[in-house]
Amino acid sequence: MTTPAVFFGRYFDGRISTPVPVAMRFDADILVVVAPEFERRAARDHYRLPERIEHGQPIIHLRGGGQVEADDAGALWRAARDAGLRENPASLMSQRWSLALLALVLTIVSLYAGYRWVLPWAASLAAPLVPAVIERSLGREAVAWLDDGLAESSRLPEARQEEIRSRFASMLGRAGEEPVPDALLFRSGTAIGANAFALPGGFIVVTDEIVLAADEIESAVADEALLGVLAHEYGHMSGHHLTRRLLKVSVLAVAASAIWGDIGTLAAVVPTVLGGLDYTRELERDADREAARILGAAGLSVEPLIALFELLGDEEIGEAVSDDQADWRRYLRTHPMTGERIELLRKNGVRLD
Amino acid sequence: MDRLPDGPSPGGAPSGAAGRLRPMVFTGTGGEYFRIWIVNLLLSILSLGVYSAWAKVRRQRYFHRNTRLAGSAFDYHARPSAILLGRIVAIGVLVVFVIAAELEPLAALALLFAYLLALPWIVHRALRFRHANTSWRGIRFGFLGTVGQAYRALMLPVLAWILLLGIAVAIALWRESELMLALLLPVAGIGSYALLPLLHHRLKRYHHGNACLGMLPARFAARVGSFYGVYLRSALLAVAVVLGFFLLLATVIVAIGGIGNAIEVAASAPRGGPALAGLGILAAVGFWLAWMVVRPYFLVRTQNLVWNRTRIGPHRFVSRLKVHRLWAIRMSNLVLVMATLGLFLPFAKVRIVHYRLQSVEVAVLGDLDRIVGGEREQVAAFGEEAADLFDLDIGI
Repeated sequence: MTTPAVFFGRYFDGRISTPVPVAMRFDADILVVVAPEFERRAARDHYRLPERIEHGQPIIHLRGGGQVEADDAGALWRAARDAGLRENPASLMSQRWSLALLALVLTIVSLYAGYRWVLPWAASLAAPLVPAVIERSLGREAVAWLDDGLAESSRLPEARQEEIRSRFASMLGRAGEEPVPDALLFRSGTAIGANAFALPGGFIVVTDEIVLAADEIESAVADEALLGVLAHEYGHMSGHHLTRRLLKVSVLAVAASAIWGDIGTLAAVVPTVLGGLDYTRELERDADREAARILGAAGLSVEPLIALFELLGDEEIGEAVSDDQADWRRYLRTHPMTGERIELLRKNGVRLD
Repeated sequence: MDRLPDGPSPGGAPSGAAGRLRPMVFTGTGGEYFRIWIVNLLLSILSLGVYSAWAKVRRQRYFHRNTRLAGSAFDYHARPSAILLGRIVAIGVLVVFVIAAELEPLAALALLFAYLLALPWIVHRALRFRHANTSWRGIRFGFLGTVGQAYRALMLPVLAWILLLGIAVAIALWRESELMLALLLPVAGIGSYALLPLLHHRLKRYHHGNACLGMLPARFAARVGSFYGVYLRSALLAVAVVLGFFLLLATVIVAIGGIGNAIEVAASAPRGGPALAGLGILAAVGFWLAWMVVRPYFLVRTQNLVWNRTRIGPHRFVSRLKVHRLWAIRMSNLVLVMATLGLFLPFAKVRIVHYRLQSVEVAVLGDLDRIVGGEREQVAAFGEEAADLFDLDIGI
């Protein structure tokens, strides 16, 4: 066996900043520090090797105080390698470009996988666990916000509202779903137009405008188109979609600001907004599937709902846009393309004609 | 003990003598930090954030051990487990905060108030943690400022200001004077801005005036007037940039279309939505430009002011940061970070730290080899992590 390699440095005792020149070596894995006036031997668990970096000062900490700064990092690491001392894996990974670039690829892959699969999955697990009180209070807040200028009270006759409520309840009953008494809130939507939407905590807001639009659709069963809309919103509700979306967007926002926050707010906001919209479209597809299922189970057709979609076009984003618009605009939409939705409904629904 | 006048010191050397100038040397490189950063990021993601505490220690050690003074590097000693605990507690507090805000807006208001009340305490704990875990040549830094001092430094001016405003508003309401209320608004705005330099000065005095390296205490001698100077010049510079931007814009429009044409177009332009949106975008660009120009100016002037007025024992700091150099680095960083979708971030950070540290020298008066260490203490990391989480920039 060859004699262990000696390397040089300065010892500091931790009590005064005076450097003491020392020679060091590893006897097997024991660190030996030799100074003019003393010799210190430290067993493997009595000293801590630093992470290996190119230019920075390597500092070895000794248990019980004191440290040694090696003059030449190369000499220290040659001696450590000869003594068979191992480095920490994370530090090894950072020393080579090839491994660092592999880490970059893995980072991108895991970010994508986290966004695509892990986050939706975790949110769907966590959403039902969110206490009903919180969901309820979120919903009430949203209703209050709506009533504060965006919507007015409904002008539909009380009897008509009751009729819709009971048809909705009987559809859910026939489909074997839990009844949701008092879920429907009728409003006249001056600013929101013909629309219906689910709020957290089991509220479904229905505007007079959409009831009137649905009345124009010919259907075999009374109010079949409107029931389709309500089934869609019920799909959002039973799937805790809004809470899920809220959870996902919060996690996205935290992650984006942790990774890109240093650059500026915009860099963190843009991925959050785009990601949030992507999830929204995903959830709309879910709700459409659920609507088709409920309608089918209740013995209703999806065709009146499809006719209503065609009648309304894309009013949900407030402007008429055709389906042949440039592809990139898909990513700025809250809902999938109308054509895409119709296809999906037809595929999942039961045709009764 | 008698206070020594600022004249010649008893040692015979005139006070303010430069001594030997020892530069701060930064040896880190962007490429190496990139490799550490990306591995840290990957492991933090895979461990759902748990590794981020270890990542922080690795990052801090990298920057500390690449910063040398008189042949020795600085070192960072925080234990990752302490940082992890601090992070968990800080995130727990944040979650309670968010849930409370959702359930009951009033509770959120109360919590926000509690947070503001706790701020000086958080600053105090963060400074203690940071200093106790930093060392040079095996001698730990320390922070001797008390919680009481933090409250006196940071809370008193704010409370006095709120009280003053409250009384003014109360009088205006009592007299039912709308004019007085209208006048109060700009006064409150300017007054709040005028409070910032005072707070900044007090924060730095609390920080630099109470730090120590071993038994060697630091001293902070900047006057509050100098802070007002920096803030005032920054504000004037911002106004000048915005005005200059709009003047340039007007000149370009006139040069292209001729003055008569421009007025005609302006007169016939559609009012309402699009015109307002256009103006809004122009204003945003103007303010962004002002921010890009003023921010480096402000950073350079404050770093130079703070460090040139700080001593550790007899040793002075000399900071010679230049506005145009920092500006050039920040602008090129911004372009490169955007162009690389963030991959340039670690390089950008190294460039900034490198320039900021290389511009600092220590005027050593006497001996750096005889600094005696003090008591060591264990400090919980909650304050540091809370400060991190709430984006509290305490600075070095």
